[in-house]
Formats: sequence, C-alpha cells, structure tokens
Amino acid sequence: MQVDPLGAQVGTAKVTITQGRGLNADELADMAMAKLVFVGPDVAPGIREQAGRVRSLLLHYLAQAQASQNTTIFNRLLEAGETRAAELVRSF
Amino acid sequence: MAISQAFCTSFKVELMQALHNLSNPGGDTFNLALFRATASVVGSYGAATTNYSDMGADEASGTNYIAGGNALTSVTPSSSGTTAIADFADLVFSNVTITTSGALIYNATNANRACIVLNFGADKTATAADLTVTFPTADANNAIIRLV
Repeated sequence: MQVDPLGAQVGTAKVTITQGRGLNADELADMAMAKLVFVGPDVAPGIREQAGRVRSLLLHYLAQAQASQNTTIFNRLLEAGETRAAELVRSF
Repeated sequence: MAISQAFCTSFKVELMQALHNLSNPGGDTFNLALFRATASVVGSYGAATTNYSDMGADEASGTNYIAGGNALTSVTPSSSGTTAIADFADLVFSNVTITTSGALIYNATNANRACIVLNFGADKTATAADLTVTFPTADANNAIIRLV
C-alpha cells in the first residue's frame, strides 16, 4: 500500500523593490504573464510564440495606461496652475 | 523574537469548519499585513498565530502603509495532480517607505483569522518605492498555499 505524505504547505513569496520609481510597464507585464501562463523550457515553439504575442499586447496596454494616466495628471496640474509640475509629468 | 514561515494551525481547523472561502468572485477578502524589521520584532509568529490582532506593535509602519495591510486578489483554488492549491495575484505596496521582514495573510472578512505567516528571509527596505510581494508559481510544488 502506498501512503502519500499529507500536509499543508506554504510556498515561498519573493519581495522586490524598485529604486527611485514605481513599477514600469515591462515589469508589470512580466508579473501578469507569470499568472496567465507558464512557458517552460520544453514548450512547443508555436506556444512560446503565442505567449510572446500575449506579453507584447499586455506591455502595449500597460504602457498606454501609464501614459494616459500621465496625461490626466498633466491636465489636473495645469488646471491647478502648477505649470512646472505639469511639464515635469509630461516629460516622463 | 522570530517570524517562522508557517501554515497557521488554526487555519487548518477553520478550513474544515468552512470558515474561509478563497473563491473569486464571491469569496472572502484576504489581506496581507507586513511585519516590521527582524530586529524590532518582539513576539513570535508562526503555526501558533491565530489572528491579525496577534501582530500588535510588530506590524510594520511607514509612509503610505496603512495598518492592516493591503487586500489580496485571490485566485479560486484548484488542483494540481492530487494537491489542492490556492494562489493570489502579486501584491504591490505603492510608493512606500518601510522596512519589513515578513507578512501575515489573514481573512479580513471573517474576524481577521490568520491563515499563513511568511518570512521574507531578510529585511526588505523600500524608500519611496513600490514594494512587490510576488507569489510563486501556482503548481503542486510551489503554490503559496498547498494541501498535499
């Protein structure tokens, strides 16, 4: 009779910290991809290619979300008369 | 004292009592609260931890960190082979200035009951930065919560 070891186990969480900035679109795309699909070393080339396309698409929209947020912040700062701060945001 | 990574014993019992629902949507809200730096931790945390209130003053504090931590986005439990697994989306503490050495995941919907204690292995310090807790691959060997 085979007896499987039973147990309640906890995995290892990793902590990463940015330096002098927030997370960028590239890092967020990697985080999202890790949750969406696992691409192992032996995966078929076609699937790897599809995963690459999904990542590119995610990256595009995440980058756009950040850029659009900057546009919104830029306009709010302009409305508040904070021209210099607004220009700083636009330069991101 | 010490933070020992562990599956809280009370959580095991409470799972059998159907006191936790990790489904999404429709499940409970689970929070992740950060412990302060190792050298400052006074209490002992691990399998015997039963509730968020146990953390007390050992919870981290810092700019843009709110006591109680941040809410997690749960991924509905599933199975991998014969192992039941639960997972969460990676959690970001945005623009924080803080030092932490571990975390407690607890059920904010149901009386702040403790679930698991995490030890980050070393103090992690963020200065006006994004601190991200990344959860492992959700499979039978790595998932953050596994019932084998």
